[in-house]
Amino acid sequence: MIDLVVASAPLIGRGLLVTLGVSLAVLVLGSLVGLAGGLCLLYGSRALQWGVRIYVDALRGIPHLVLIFAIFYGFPALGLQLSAIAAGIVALSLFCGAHVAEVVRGAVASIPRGQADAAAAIGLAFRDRLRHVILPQAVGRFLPAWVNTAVEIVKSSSLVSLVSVVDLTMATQQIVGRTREALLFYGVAALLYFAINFSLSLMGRQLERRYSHG
Amino acid sequence: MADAPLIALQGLEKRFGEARILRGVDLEVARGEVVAIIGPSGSGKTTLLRCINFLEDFQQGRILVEGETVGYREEGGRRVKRADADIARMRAHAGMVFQSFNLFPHMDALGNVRLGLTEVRGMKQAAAREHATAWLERVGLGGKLSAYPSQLSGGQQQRVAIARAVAMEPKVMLFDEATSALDPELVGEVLSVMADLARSGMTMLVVTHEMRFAREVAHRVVFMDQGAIVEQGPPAQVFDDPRSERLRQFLGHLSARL
Repeated sequence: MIDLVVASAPLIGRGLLVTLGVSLAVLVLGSLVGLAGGLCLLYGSRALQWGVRIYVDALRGIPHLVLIFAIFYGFPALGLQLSAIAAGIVALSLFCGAHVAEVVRGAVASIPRGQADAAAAIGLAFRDRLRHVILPQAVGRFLPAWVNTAVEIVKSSSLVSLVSVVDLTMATQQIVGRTREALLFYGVAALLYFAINFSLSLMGRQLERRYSHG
Repeated sequence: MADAPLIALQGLEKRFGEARILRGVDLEVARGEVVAIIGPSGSGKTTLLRCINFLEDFQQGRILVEGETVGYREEGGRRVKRADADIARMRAHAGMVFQSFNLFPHMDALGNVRLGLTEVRGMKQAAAREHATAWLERVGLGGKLSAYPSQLSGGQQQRVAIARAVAMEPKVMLFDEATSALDPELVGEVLSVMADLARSGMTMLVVTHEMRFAREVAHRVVFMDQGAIVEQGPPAQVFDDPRSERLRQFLGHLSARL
């Protein structure tokens, strides 16, 4: 049994790297989109708020897999051919962005108005009020929800295997197909997903402590 | 005091929906003058103060600080809202102290005072530190530079807030019920810092329920009710010889409570 696992380690390792890469790319892109989206929901013009609200609500109501398929199989009809991995990253980033936008909006809105007033009263312009006063306080409030989103994204990254990306899930499927050791290798995959998400949660808790202000 | 007023409010109108919060308020404040604004809750005192540094928008009238209009430029008889950077620049001229302190909880006392110095006044870190330290020492908090707001008493927090505002060297200080949220035994330490500032020649508009402070420190007391100035004058006149029935009623309620 150990021999089997050792022999399969290179493929599992490559799959794990792809899963980590996809998750990281989605979290970075999605968080940037979400930060911008959340700030638009709070401070944008009425039209912008409306547009972002439609994006957030629509994306949260569509299954992840439908969007991955739509982008991978549907975009070529529009003359835009994305690789399987790019289609997966774009689709999941859009989902991540929608979730993070709502998380950022909620966190920033929960900062007492007096903080923005005090920052304005010493002459800080809008951008500096956000940078020095509002966002540093909002980070502590949105971290728990952001970590939940990150965990969901790592789990959802397994969906890219359905457009033939050899991530951890697909690598595991290939190994199981070859060895017929489903319980063993899906168990290994489950452990690895759990390890990633557990590390994320621990990191989140540490950051939360760092950014919490009594 | 110079002839031209430092601050001039002309026909200031503020509405929240249908409610008229300020009804054509006219007020001039001379350089170095300390004006106490008194009146019942909901009379528009806080809104008036917030309009002066444009934390509240207003629908009509003008506010001038050293002759420069606050919030709006006037172009061919039309009001044109100033750019964010321009509004921010003007706000730095009017320091404000809030009832609930509003210190930044993620910064220590020094950080709270230093932020505006480095980001708005463009001071270098070392100079800003020195300037902020000097002001915190002046309000009696030289030993609390590294304390976070959650580690300070209400009175200490309010003194940091005063240092944060005054360190910007504003043309006028606006105090919005600065002692209302404090335990009675902590009120004195804040009032004493405010009196010290007044003695130093700082122009101050002080919304307050502390009538003794208004009587002893202010040069002029303004009584507001229902969004308008009902009566104003030197403290002795306003407190000892009120002209309007409404002010007599207000003072009567206060003395009944004491």
